[in-house]
Amino acid sequence: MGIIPLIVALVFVVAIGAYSSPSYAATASQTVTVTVPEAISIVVPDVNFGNITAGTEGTSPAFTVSNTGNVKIDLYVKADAGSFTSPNATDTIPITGFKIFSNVTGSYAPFLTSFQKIYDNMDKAAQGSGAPTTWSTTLKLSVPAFTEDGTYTITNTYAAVKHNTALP
Amino acid sequence: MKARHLTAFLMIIFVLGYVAPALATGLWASPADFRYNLKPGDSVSGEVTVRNIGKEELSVNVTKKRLLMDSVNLVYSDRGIAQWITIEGNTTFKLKAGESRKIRFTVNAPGKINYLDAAGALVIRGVPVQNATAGQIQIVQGVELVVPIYVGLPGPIIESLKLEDHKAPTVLLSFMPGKFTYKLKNTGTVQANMTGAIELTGITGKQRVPIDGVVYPEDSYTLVETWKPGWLEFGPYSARTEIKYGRFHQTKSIETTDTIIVIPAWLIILLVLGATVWMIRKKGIEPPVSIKIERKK
Repeated sequence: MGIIPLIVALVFVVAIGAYSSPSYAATASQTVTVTVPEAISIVVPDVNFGNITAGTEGTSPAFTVSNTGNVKIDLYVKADAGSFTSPNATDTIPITGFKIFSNVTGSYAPFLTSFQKIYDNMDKAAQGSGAPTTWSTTLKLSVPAFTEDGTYTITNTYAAVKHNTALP
Repeated sequence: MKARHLTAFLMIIFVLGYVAPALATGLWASPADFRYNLKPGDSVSGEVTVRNIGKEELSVNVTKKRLLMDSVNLVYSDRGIAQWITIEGNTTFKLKAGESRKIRFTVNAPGKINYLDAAGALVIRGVPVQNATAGQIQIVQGVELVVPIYVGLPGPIIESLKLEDHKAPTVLLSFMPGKFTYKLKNTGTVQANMTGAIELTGITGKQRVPIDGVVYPEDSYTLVETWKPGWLEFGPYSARTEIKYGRFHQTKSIETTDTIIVIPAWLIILLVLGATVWMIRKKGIEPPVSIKIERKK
């Protein structure tokens, strides 16, 4: 037997061995969990109503309420008192003539001294850019005839609650 | 030249309008809610971070409340879970723009849990320290973040007022005040704001006594109204009472009807005078003084 047939035979044997020998492979799965904390947040700008003549109804400039958090919210509003008061006038302006344009009803809703919903399921801020979801609204106020001149003030409170709060 | 000045003026207004920041009130809180699986007697603590993301310094107030709600209304109560929550540290503080603060709280569940009382909240309210609004009508805009603490469900809003007893006068004399008394009990979960009137209808027309008041949940309230007939009122009067009530709008009502007999004072005076004259004539009593009227000569 010559050397060359011997080498060919060895190569053949090695090839057969390599082909027939068992191979081992392992797969493992990894679960990665990350919790993104929820944050609730709103921004409400100041609104300058200006002057309203007694006996007429005035409309405020449009202003924007922003959801700057990462959860959907329900937005509520209330007036903190039953009337506008003035430090230098004895008259008051009742909130019965004070309204806000509501996204829930699509019309002007009279203010109450308890919270009523004015926006249901307001979307969160945009992912990535963080651009808030905004909503534009206006206020209306009727000033009774012969109301004493002066500066009249009230505080409105806008409340945000995470949407899908379980109802009773 | 004039056009150049006008252009420059408009440019200044534009630049100032663009650069001058619009004032706004903004609050941020995290997390947005807490959910606990508490058993009677259990205790748990949590922490909320609150940040002023507006451009004005805020006066912040943190309170603990029980939530009552329906699809439109949100009402706070100081009962139920509101009494299980304890807030640590100051609950009133100021936050400058960009500042934040951590608020820690503990929930101590009572020995017996009513799970319909068990949706509470930390209510974080921020109002600008300085009123920056201008004009004759000034609206201060505050914000409130409601961070619910759920152990159970929010309570339902139930408006219910029961009339347990009522009393009305049966006979009145002119100028004699008559008291109408109504014993009411609030059997609902929210305050009952009352309006209405007692309408008295008789021979001489109608009179109206207005009703106004508030009854808080679980409270008993005695409403007392007074009517005083004048000279003209006499005879039978029908007193129809309507008490309208509700938390937000007075859409529910309680009605009662009573009958009152009004005896006029002038009738009593006439009767007394008549009786006196009759007595005098019957007994032939001579008057102690006599006046003689003579024609002038």
